[in-house]
Amino acid sequence: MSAGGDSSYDVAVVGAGVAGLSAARAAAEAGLRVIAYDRLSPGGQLVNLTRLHDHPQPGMSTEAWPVVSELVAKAEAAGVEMGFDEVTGVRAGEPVVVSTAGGEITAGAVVVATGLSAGRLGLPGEEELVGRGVSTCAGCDGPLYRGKAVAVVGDDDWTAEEALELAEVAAAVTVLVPGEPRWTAHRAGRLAATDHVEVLTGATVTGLRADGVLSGVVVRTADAERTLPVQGVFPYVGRRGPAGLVEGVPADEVGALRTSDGVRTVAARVFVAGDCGAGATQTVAAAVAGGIAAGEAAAAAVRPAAGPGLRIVDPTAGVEPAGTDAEEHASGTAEWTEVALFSNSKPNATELLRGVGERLQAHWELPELGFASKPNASAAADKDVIDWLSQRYKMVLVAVGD
Amino acid sequence: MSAEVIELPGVTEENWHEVAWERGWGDGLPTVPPTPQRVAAALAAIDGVDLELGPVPPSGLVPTRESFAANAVMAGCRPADLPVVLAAVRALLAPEYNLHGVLATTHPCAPLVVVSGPARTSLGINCGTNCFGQGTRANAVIGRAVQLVTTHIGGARPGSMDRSTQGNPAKYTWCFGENEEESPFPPFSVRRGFEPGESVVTVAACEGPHNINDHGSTTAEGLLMTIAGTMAQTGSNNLYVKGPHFLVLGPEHAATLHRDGWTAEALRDRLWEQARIPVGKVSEENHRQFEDWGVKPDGDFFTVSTGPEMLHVLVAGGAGKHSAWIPSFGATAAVSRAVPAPR
Amino acid sequence: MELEKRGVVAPLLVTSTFLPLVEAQAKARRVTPRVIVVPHPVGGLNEGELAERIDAAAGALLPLADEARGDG
Repeated sequence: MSAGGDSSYDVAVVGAGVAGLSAARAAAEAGLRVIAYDRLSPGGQLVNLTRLHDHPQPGMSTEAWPVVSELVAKAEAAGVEMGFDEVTGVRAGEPVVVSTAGGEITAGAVVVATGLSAGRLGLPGEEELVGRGVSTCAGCDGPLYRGKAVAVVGDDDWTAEEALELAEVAAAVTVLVPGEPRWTAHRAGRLAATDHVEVLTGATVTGLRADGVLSGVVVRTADAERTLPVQGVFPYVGRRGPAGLVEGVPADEVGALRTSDGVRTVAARVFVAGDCGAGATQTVAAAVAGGIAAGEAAAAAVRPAAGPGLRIVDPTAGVEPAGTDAEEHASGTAEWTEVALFSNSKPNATELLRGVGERLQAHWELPELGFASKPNASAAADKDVIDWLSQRYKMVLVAVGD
Repeated sequence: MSAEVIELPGVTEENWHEVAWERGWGDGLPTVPPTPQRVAAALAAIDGVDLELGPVPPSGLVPTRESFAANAVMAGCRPADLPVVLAAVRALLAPEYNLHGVLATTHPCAPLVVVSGPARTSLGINCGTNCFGQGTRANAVIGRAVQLVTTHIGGARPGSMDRSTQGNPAKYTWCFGENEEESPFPPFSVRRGFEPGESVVTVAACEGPHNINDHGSTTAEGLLMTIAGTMAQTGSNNLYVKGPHFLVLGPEHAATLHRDGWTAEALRDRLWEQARIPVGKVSEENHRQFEDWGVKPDGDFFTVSTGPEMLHVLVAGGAGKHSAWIPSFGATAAVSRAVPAPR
Repeated sequence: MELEKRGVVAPLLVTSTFLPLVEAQAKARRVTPRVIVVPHPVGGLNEGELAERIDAAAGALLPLADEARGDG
């Protein structure tokens, strides 16, 4: 499931949501070996959504799960390996070192696409109530609150969509907006048209009431503080980016990683895609586009070679000297009885030649052997000696080396 | 140039070193990619100059203008360095230098490149402190370029053609300038027959420098004793192969010798007599070996090389009481060539 | 190798460490030398060791020479 023995990849993607899967696919399609990590299963934020709003076009909506399965299928078809492991740290360098719960792996480049953490109110006792009244997934947990009262905390389009989805099952939905809402007029109209939804602006949640399970939230507005009796609260505030995950890469005030252009970080081989980038547009389309851009940038960093390549002048080039092949030497007219030894004058070379020569002399019953030597072992053979040998002898036994 | 341009798909300046290394190019240190643009810029520095280069052993190939310049670029040369590199390679290819033997030998010789004349200052060649050592671009790249030409065009790669038993760090690069400004003698190049003010390169296949440390002697006589003692080595090729050798005096030693009345020529004559190796210091086996080669002692001593004219005396280096003796491969010669002037 | 270019049969007694050198030179000169490889080194051997080298080299040379002469 994970690295499968070889723990070195061209590109590692942290987070297999929309942005991460898009990045992984883009890098894999560039021919690189890619792994995409996710703690649980691929899909990221989409797993928490039953319907995708403003997708594929603004104002439209579609079911989330086919989008996820298509992203996964395309990534896997491109050769992306899925790693189900929690990434605990990323150390920039060449290669980048990725620490996971299952050990370290290295990658030529890393795309961080963790998204943002689940929303939190930042109140005491909150974590213990997760699953007991505190939830961040209307699509998953909504049915648990059928006929009950819930609060939704946030100010964006997502908050509004989650409130509208909960309104389909809950008896009462109170949307607590810390300041003023940022959602579109269209969503404001839909919220206003739903009679059991109330929107309270300038509302801060200051406490949780619980007895094993959530029983209410304390809400402070400009003029008063009161306890709102709800069985469920859905915070879409306090979502945090992966600040600190990558050593040396700075983050903004909510922990989202800062980039120079939406993709590149201060670390040469660490890229960012999707919601975890500072100032990211939190839509599916932006996550796809950002993912592809990050995947391609990572591929380019790993394989800068993708360009036209380098042209160089061959440093070994040379031409044959003019006239050498035209030089002709008449074959000697010497007989096979004319055999000589030619020593390079290295220690023992002459002795070796003479020893071997004597065997040949005996074998061919030669009356005598000629002999020549270089003046010293280090100089090239004298041209006159070569001339003499080639004219006088049929065969010359030569010593080379020492 | 087109026939010699190689397309390296997928290669960039970043991964060039790995690719070059895989192809057997370079000396182990990173090289500069010889792009056509860099080569053209380098060639502009020898515009109108005929290379006048013959075949480079052992491959027997004649360098083209482009391949010659490509090696200079790889070594890190600036265009202005090329005329000096060219003069050095011309000298290396003179028959008496014996490049084939130099490349193929088991001896650790390296091409020693000495620069005299105005090119030293115009290129910033170090003639003073640490002139044999690291730290000066011109010295580093010129010596390295000379070595890369023989490695690449001649094909003298270590292990196959280059059979040196141990090699020598100077085989990476070895170029320095004569310290004419602090020399009490006429410039080395002038003593070798070149005009004053002419830039000249002298090469020879040499061992690394053998230090001559003498802090105590305050007279020429004292110094000569130390110098002669350093030169009287039983393990150098100059003992039996003979050939050239160099005495590179530090300016302070040179000043002392000059003060006491010594000229460069007189030093050569004196050291020829004084730097001698007692026969008893040479093994019996070597006696027989030397005899086979026609090398006989002069009375009770072996001489260093064949005569005073084989010792080349010059001044280089900075402050301090050190000089150097540089023995050679023996079967080589000190060869000088004027640095060509571009059109 | 120059001798072979001039039509002389010139077997080279090459010590093993110098074989790559000879091969590279031969390639550069586009000749195929007749090579008899002798274990390196030859220098520094005593008489007995040298005799072994001679035996081995002669064993290789004689058939090579016969063949060159045309009576192999």
